[in-house]
Amino acid sequence: MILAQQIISGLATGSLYALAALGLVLIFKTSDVVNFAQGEMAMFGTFIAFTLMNSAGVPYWGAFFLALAFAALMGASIERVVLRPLNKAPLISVLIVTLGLFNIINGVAGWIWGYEQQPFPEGVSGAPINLGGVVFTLPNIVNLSVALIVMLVFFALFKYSMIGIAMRAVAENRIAAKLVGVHTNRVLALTWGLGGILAATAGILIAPVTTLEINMMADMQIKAFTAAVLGGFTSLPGAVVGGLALGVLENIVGQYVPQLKTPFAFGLIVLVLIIRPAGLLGTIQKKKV
Amino acid sequence: MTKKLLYAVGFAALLVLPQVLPSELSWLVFMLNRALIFAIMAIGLNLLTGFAGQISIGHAAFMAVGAFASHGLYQFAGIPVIFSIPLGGLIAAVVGYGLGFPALRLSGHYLAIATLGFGVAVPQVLNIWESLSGGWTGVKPAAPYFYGLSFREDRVYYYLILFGLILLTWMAYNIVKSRTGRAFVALRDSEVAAQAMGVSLTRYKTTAFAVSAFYAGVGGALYGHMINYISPHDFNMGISMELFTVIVLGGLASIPGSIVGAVFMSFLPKLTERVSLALQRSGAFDHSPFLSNVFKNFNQVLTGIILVLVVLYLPLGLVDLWRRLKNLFAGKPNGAVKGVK
Repeated sequence: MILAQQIISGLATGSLYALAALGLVLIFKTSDVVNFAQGEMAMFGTFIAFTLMNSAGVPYWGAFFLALAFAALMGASIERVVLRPLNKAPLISVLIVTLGLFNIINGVAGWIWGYEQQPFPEGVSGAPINLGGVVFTLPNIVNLSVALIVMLVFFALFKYSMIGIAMRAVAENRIAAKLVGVHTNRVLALTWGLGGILAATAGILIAPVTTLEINMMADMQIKAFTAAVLGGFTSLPGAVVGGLALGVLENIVGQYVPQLKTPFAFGLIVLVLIIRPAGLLGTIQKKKV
Repeated sequence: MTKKLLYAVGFAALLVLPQVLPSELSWLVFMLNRALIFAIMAIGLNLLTGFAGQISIGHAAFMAVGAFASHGLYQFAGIPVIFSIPLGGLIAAVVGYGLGFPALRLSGHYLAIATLGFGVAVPQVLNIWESLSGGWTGVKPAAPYFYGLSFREDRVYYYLILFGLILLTWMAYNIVKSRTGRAFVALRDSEVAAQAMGVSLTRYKTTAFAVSAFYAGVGGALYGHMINYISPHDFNMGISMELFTVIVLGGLASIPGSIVGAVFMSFLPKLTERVSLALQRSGAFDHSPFLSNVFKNFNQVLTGIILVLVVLYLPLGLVDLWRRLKNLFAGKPNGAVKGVK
């Protein structure tokens, strides 16, 4: 029974990792950028929701959706202003730019909202559910469902919708996509906008657990990277599988050696990458010389 | 001839610099020491990232290994600090060599994430190893002592760091010019093409990690014995990011760039701190909590902006500014530049 409870709480944490990882994977899939600022976009969006609720008196769900709209705008603007000029630049330049954005967003959030921790409300509340001795809460269920729904929606979007096919075309070959009439710039801006929405969703659902502060995503982000790498950086289901697997494994390890949780996560990345360099569900990208 | 003279004058200036500074500016010597230590580590990281093309954003981990190894060697084995510093570097190199193996199968983003994880994991592991690291309370590494000469004072310690920097810079230039250096660059430009030319991926990637970790380890050890108080959590992501910023800002694949970047990044926070102190005294913050927040954390945003601007407008780093200015005054166009990937 203790093991069952550990697995359930592991799934609860894991669904948060999965949420944070989904945005990373979405952006990487289309634009080939590992966005190191993803967590900070999440934090910033969450602060926007917080301000709307506390200073403007907007109800929770209103603030939630307004924050998502803001985050979409933010994501698209980042693409337009900073990343578009770099579309021919080498990988390391793009990586550095997202690290720079990390610093800027984190710092500016500190300027605006200060450095104290704030409590952040849950969207749903209710008594914990006890199922045969295994306890879970309503937010746990919401987090897991949101992660699964987001995964399914975007999976379907990529597979069947016109815009999803355009995104895959841009990811595959930008010039060829342009030649067959895809507005590559528009697709990229849209991807980053969607990435912003996913970031803010993750942030708002994570904030009640971590409490709201500018560094709330620091640890979460490393776990999200691990989850994404574990599942294969190009696979949306992979992000969810990776996140849940990481959450459960980490919780079981934490039961015995609590201080080794993070080193364990690192060891896991290295191990998985040695055996399967593209992650559990990822596909290997071949490179031309 | 004039170039040699210039070097001699520069070297003499570096030698007398800490002695001629007035005593009220003695904090500058500490800053200078820190800058030179970071220059050593930045050269190491640049060999790995700039020349061999392997990204590491967890380099503070090697620094931690060097610092605690050197402290441990002195504390438990009685090896004089002056020797334990390079030995600490060697131990870091062994760890780096080890990390090189998983890195063989990773590249680009994946490698960045793996090194990020490494950078987070090592301080936590050291933290558990309390007999060596002192855990959260940390330890106090001793100051070096050499034939009756104590390096406890910053003004004296400076010469030890300068000696290390010059030696390691010379070593870096030689590595870059050697077969190994050419193999690094070949790997960076195309792994497949390099392998086709007979460059062993395994051998040179692990070498690059080992060499780079050696520099970071020596830097970490020098740092530990200078500030006399270290705990595992001093070697955090912030330090790794600073090192990474230094090489990008100074210039990737440029040894002078590493030094310029390190000096710039070490003195920048001090400068903004001075400005904010002056503003605080003038009472500018009394009515604006926002302004006071801004100056509490000005560096981080500034660092971010600098990173973005450098990538967008000065992709070859600050060293390129010098070349561009020279060309400007000579009336030459900017011209083609050696490509950096």
